[in-house]
Amino acid sequence: MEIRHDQAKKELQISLSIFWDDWERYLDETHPSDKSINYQDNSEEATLLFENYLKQHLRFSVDKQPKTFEYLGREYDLDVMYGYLLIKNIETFEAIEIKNTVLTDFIPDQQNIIHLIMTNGRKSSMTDADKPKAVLKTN
Amino acid sequence: MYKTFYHYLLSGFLLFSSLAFSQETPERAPGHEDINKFKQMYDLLATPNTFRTASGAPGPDYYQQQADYKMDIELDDANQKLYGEETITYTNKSPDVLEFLWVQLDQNVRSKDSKSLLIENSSAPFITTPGRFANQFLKDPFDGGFNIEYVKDINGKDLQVVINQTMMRVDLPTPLAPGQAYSFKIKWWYNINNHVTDRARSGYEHFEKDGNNAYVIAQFFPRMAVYNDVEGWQNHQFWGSGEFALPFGNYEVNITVPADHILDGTGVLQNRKEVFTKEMMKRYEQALNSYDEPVLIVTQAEAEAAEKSFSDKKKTWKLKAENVRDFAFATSRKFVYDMMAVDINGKRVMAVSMYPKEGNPLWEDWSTKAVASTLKSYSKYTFDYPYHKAISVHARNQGMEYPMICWNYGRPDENGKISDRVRFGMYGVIIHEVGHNFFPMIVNSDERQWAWMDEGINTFVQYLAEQEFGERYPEALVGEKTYDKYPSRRGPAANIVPYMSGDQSFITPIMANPEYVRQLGNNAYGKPATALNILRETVMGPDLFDKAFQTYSRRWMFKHPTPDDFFRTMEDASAVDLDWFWRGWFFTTDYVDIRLKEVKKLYITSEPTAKVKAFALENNIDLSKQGPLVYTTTEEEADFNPALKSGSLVASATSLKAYADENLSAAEKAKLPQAKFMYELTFDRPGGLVMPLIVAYTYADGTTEEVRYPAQIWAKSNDKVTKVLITDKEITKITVDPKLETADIDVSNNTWPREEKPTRFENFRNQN
Ligand SMILES: [Zn+2]
Repeated sequence: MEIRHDQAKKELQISLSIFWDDWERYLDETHPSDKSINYQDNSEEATLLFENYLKQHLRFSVDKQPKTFEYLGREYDLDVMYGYLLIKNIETFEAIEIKNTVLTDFIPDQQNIIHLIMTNGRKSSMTDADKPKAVLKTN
Repeated sequence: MYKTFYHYLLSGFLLFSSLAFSQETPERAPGHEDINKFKQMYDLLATPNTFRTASGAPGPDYYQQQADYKMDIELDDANQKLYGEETITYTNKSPDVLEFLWVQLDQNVRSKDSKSLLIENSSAPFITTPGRFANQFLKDPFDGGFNIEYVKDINGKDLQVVINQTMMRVDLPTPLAPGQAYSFKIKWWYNINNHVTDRARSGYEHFEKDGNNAYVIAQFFPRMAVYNDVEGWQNHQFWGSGEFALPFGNYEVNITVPADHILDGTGVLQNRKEVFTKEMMKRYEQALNSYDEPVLIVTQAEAEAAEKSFSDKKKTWKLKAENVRDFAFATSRKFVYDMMAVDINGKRVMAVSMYPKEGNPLWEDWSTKAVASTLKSYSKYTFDYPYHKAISVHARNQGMEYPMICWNYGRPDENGKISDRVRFGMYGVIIHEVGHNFFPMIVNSDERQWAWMDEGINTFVQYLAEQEFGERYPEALVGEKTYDKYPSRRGPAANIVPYMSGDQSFITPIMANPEYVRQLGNNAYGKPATALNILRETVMGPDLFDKAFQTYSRRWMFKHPTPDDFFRTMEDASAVDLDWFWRGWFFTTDYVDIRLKEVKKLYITSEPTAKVKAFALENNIDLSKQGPLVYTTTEEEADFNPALKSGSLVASATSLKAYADENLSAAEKAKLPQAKFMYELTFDRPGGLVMPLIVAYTYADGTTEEVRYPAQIWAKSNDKVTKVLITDKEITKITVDPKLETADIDVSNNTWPREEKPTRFENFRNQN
């Protein structure tokens, strides 16, 4: 996951990628009888499924204040699905906390790497099933 | 650019430029060892010996052990159990006396009390599905693992054994001397696991609709461990990630399954006429001569009829394999079965596929052709495929390899729709797994210690084979979209950038054990495959690389190579010093980031600039006593004379012009007016890896020129390279690594003038 702080726009621009193989594993487990959905369609149903999943599995707080994100959409290539999220009204901050359980609930060894990119440099951290929370400090 | 001319300029004149100004004496620094990036790898490689030579070839005392197996196997389809009895004959070809033998019991990783369950993390998820929660925390674990009924010597006397998880030590009544062979027998059974729910490498898939199982069976028998000159016994436990280390041997295997099953596996089928129907035999004879299209031996209609039969009769399939390191088979009454002949340098090899109807229409169209194409491509880059067949079996979610047979995923959805992802996933996994026949089935590296030696090398050849598959079968590239070349996932340098630029605490060097490697897919597959691709295309060039790579493959065909043997052979056969490359890419987590740090546009003058005058004054230099000099200046300097901007470089420096008149030939002089622009470029390396420096120059008239400096440009000064260019045309743009060949992780510092590229996020937002 990449979180980019756009200082001019006062936004956190978030993009994350998920391998289709892994996403399909999730869909298989949760919707085993519902094979008729073509999950690559941009149908409302398929998109909503992804959006809801992210809303369940991602929590952000900026300087200890919980922040909700806006889901902008997704796109994909052969292997990877990309999701785009936006958190508005973030001017300056000291730390961002991410709770990320995307995929870790059904792929035990899944590791999610998080990059925070700011004008003055970048910070990285990682979450996994054992440690779903990460705090990235801007300094 | 005029190479001869600027060469003369640089050598013939003292250029009073940055050089002179940077010679301030620093504090005396402490000494250091050789830390040059081009230091030879004496500190990293094993000392050559008579087993393995300094050139990377097997030495005069190279040896390898042999393990021969005779097995009788029976499948209980109704209860998903497998019963087996084997006689192992182990031949000690080492110079050492062996007091005991180690036998691998890989199925024990699935035993109820397996310690591998203990090392898996099991923290409580804050959100999960009921089924998953129940499986994880409420259900009894699957009762897998080998049930060993006996281990006896050839006369039926019990042998003393000690089982330590997935390893069994067989204590020999008398030590096994060099050159001796020892035979012993094992009887066992185990509950076969559902590989779909378990995500395992072997097991069965259950088809709810028709009640059938499709079995892909491997690691199903106690197998000898490897004993060699580098590890002694390779008896590192099987935890699940590190695959296998196995000696070569000959196998005779009789497998009894329900009479309506179709079975194939490692080895030559000995009783084809007993197990094939007359119709199947007829089609088989046809397939032997069909080199362009697969011939169905069992049609889908026949497989669908068999699905309903549930025969209680039995049939025994007899297979015999020579010089293989393992054995596996697949069996089901659901299998459609097709074959096609492949010509490998005049030798006939059969490409074979087995798949349940659920794989169609994709599998009948492409599996066997993908197998055939892979055998051709790999044979070209390594050695002629030595076995008589290669089978691709369709098993859900699987991608796993064994000698002559592999399991592959790629299933259309229930309506028969094939997404591009499924399509290219299926081609890719077949090419990869069939490719494993070469690495590690034949070039038999130790997977338990070095995952990259088979996965990385194989993924690299997979990339070449994918591209060639696309060229051989352009119609295979037509799916939802039409691709003009095969969209390979791993291989292209740019694809490894996200991994290489990741947080260092989550990256491990390639030279590490797969059990503790982080991000195994990138570490053992993506990065080494990309590194070899870069080595081939950008560092060595295909000609030198291909010959060296082929030399490695042929030297170690049917043998056990180590990483050192690979590193050494690649240099031995090419005369390209690659120590810097192996050291950086394989032994560290360094990344490539080459930066175009500074571009100075320079002018030449005979008049001392203010900067020079100040320098002279400070250092007590009398410029008038130095003889004729040439000075460089830039537009940024306060006393810059704008007149320098018109005319040729030489014309604006009288001292230089005078020298040229006297010393240059007429031909050289004729070129002088063309020397109009002068640049000083500084490159540095925020990244730890040295790489060839590839620079593209764009001129004011729109033309471009690419210059490739070898990696050794960094040899003397690892951190910084300065280049002076004299051109007849103004340079408008300079780009380092313009075609993204080197996996440079930050290309935003590669261009002059700097260019801001929109992020993926911005691109998406702008389009939507
Ligand atoms: Zn593999």
